[in-house]
Amino acid sequence: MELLGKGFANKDDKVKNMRRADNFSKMAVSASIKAVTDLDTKNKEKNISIILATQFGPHVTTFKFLDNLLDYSENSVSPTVFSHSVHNAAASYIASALEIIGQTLTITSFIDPLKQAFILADAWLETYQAEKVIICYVEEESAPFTESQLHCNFPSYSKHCFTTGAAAAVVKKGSQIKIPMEVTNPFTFIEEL
Amino acid sequence: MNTTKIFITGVGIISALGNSIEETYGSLSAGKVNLGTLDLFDCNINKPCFKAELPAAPSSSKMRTKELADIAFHQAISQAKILQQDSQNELRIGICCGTTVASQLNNISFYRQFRENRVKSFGPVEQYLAGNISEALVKEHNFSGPGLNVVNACSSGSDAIGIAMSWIDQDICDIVIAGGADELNLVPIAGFNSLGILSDSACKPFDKNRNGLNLGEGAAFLVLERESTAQTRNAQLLAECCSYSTASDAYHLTTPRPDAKGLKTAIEQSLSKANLNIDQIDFINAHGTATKNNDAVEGQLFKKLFNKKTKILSTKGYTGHTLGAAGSIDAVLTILSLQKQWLPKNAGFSEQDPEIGLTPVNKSIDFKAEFALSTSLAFGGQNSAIIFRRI
Repeated sequence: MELLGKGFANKDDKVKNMRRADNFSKMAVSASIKAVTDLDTKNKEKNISIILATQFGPHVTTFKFLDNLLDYSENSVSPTVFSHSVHNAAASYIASALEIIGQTLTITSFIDPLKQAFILADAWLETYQAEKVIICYVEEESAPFTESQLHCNFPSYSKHCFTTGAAAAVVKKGSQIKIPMEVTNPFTFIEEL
Repeated sequence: MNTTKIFITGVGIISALGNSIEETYGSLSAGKVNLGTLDLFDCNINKPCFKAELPAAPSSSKMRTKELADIAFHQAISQAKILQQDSQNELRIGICCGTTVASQLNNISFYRQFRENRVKSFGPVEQYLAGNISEALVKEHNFSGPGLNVVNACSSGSDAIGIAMSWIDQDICDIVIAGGADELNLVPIAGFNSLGILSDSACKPFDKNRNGLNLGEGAAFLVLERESTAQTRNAQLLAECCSYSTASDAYHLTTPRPDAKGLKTAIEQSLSKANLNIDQIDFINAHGTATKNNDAVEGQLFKKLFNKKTKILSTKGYTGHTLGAAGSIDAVLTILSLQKQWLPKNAGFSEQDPEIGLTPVNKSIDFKAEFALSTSLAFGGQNSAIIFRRI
């Protein structure tokens, strides 16, 4: 694979036309927009796919939905909060923002989701299922998870991911990027590409 | 065009239709619609649903989704003759599973305690961490291949099969066990209810008077491998998994694109990859959830794209919408129909919707079918299509 661009975002990033979206989706879109600066996604380059990788997904929004359930009732929860708690909402927002009509995939793994995303992107590029792939990694910290870390046996990989942010890389076929045996820190890995 | 031929050598299924492929076929043949009331947990939303009956008392230490997954998974590997020693020899076996509920820490009791600063046990978090189905199954069976969960909402089960095909095609794995699993859970029930798309009665896919979906639960897994691998292992070929394709609507978070452009692209690409023309598809197992939007988008496209010879049906009237499991349950039912050369009727349908102009299979039929298409649509504008061939 060869790197075409990369971008990063944090929870303070503002994204146009995403007022109703949660921070998880906003960060994913912001990082992806920065990563595709040099691509003409809206006109010529149609065969672009998206892989969003995460360990824990938009769990802050899931907790917000649980707040809805506890504070109101099962019959009066917010449909907007619910739809954003679905893991692939962020990838959907990236597709809409960049008008990408190729494959859109969201994957989770507690062990090494970014490595899996790169392996899959490589497979798609090698088999011409995509000419370019946006790989976006997103995590969001939350009090329940931070507290749980002290009491539970989180996979060792998770310790690098209790942070809030998004990192995106756009790749095409090539030999520049070698997929490592293990991506110890996904944010640093994309930064150092 | 696909260069690697990939075959199915094992299937496993659990849903409201039964706990095995035999029970599933028996229920379908009898036209059983096992719709019931929700009794798994306290819930004030009084909507019917399709519950799976676990053969043994549920384990308190395991997520229900994982229990469902385990049942279907073991059926699939048993039929495919994947033995314990396969995990110790040179076969690279991977697992890819679609889900929605298992990807979230949504234990309400734990969260209430956390909010009130009185957590008694972090067991629910441990359960969640152990509940990444693919990783857990890879670990339990000592497989050397990757374990990955697909969380593409309602198309996850289909997309897991697509990833499995990529892994085999790219020689990342020799065998992939792909599927999906999801339980009935308060979060999606309340969420879908808030969106106003749950029906008060049995769902009616493609019917003029359809008024929403019924949620269901279940799991299904398929064992995928090359013919050469299957021959070496003396595993029987059940069907060919000819092609998979997926495309995004880039349109809206919860509403499918009205012109069905994404779905059309996915279907056309899957036909092209399988080197088939549209007239060769004998039947379509549609996503067909019975919501106004989904069935209109799917039905109108099918009417436009396919000729009258192609039979169309949805099986959601028997299983309910099983979310992350739906695509893989549909895939197993599609293969079952190809094997039996038989189609169940589209449960719930009685009157054609003039806005769609399509009558799905309205009585069970015996017929000759070689190729079948299974479609999945999802939140976020995901559209996936898989083509299977009878062996």
